[in-house]
Amino acid sequence: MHVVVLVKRVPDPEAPASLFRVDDAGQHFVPARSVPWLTSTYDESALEAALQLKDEHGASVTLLSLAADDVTEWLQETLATGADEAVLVQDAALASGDSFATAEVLAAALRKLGDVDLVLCGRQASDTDAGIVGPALAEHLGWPSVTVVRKVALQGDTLRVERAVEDGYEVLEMALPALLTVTSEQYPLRYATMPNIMAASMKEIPVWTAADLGLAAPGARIAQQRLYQPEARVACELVTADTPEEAAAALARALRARGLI
Amino acid sequence: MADGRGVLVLAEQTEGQVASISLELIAAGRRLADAAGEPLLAAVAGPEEPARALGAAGADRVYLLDHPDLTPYLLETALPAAEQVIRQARPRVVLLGHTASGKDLAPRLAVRLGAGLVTDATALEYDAGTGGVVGRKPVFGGMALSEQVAQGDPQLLTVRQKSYEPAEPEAGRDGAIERFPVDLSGVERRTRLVERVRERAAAKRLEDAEIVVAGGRGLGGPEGFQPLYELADTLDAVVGASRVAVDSGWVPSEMQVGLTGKMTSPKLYIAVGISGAMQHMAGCSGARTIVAINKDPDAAIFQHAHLGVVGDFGKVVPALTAACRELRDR
Repeated sequence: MHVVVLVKRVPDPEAPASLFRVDDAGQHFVPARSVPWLTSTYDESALEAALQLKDEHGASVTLLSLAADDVTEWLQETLATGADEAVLVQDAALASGDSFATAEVLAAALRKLGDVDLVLCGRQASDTDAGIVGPALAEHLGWPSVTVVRKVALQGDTLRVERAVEDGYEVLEMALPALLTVTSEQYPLRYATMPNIMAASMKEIPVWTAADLGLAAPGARIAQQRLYQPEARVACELVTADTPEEAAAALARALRARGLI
Repeated sequence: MADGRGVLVLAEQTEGQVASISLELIAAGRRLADAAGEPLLAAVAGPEEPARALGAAGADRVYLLDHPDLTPYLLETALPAAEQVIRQARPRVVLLGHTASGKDLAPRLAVRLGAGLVTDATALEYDAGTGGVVGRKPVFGGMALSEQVAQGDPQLLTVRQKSYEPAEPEAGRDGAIERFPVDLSGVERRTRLVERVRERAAAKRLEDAEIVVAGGRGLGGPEGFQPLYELADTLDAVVGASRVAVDSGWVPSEMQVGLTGKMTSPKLYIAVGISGAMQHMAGCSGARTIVAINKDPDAAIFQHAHLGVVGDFGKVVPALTAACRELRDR
């Protein structure tokens, strides 16, 4: 069984908001140089789900990423968690498109890879928070898809998944090939082991361009008119006292004075 | 599809009850439709009651999607049904909830229709200049807001729950209900719904709570939540948690507050041992008053809170519980 995991490299979404600013064009959210770049949060969960399928069913796991720059080093680090191969589509024009453009590029890459049984990706990217690429890609491929999957299991050729819904969860079964977008709770990504780090450093990562995929830059389906940071909040009133107990009492009085308790 | 007209709400229903999000979309859709001088349409599968409720809430016309395989909801049948009714009704704008089904359906529908899509919009505005809708949505975990316009025809948007007040049904108001037969003969059936399991605890829901006490990484473990449960008990509050606490297995996922968890809008939100990452604040920024209790004076939470105590929650929270009890019993 061949599982492909879509991974995206993003600026750390947990970095303080003060380290980001909107560019002069009002279009891009630019992180300070000190902000580390890492794997999009939910893509890590997708990768862990894939690695568990490898542990349990001997699946082979390939990472697939689209980026404007050479992100081979990061891909190698991500490979070191135990995935088998990685492929990078490196093309500035293709990588600067919206979610629909990305889905078209990845569909072309998957067709070029061939022999894929299952595609896993995060439920939404930490930068765009769009949640569009996964299902849009499944539509291009003509495969069943399920979003916000919290558990994946394979029974023969049938995929059985738990999908989070508003008041609980659904259990769905479907034939392969299929695409799932994964949420985090049950899939914390494992650490890289020394043997896997060694193996990953020897792996060659093919780099494809638009020409390799036979693609021109796809048209835009989402136009951003403006990007801005929400207004900074007013200063916090700190309740100080000599002891925690006195501070707590003062806080209670402040809440009572505001009619909140 | 060019020259679309009208706003179409793809509504959800369970066992004959229209989902609240769909009534919220009717309210939002009514404003957009009126601004454009165009009709408000709705489409829903299921028995007639939800269709009548959508009409009573303000839809001018309701398409009752007719096929036994449309309920319970399954993406495989909902997708062609949505596509067919949209091609028939030819709206300018299509609104869906950013719900489990909306997340599933909207991107695939957009690809099928050659349409654009804005997801998880928290505010919609009609742009008279272009005749389109601008959706405002959080990005970068809520650190920034993006105003986006879906390109193409129609414009699709998924809207976050509780971004709008639900439209109230009016006695005597109704929409024209049109039975719309759906053709599923060409659909290759590869997915099966095995079961749907309710996990909602009987107790109060986070989204509706007036007071929320939430715990995060700073609590150190599941036992760290004990003082929070006691405080919540005294204040008649609901306990929530950050994504870290949930992912660490300290509390169940239903307690998660944040961009990918529950959205709360209480009058009082007490954040204990929570760093204040934007994706968490996105779940409580609607709170009237935010109180932070954290031992790190540099924690980002203090930039979002109205009131704060820098201190050890293990001492502050029990003392707060005692002080509140004393005020209550006075």
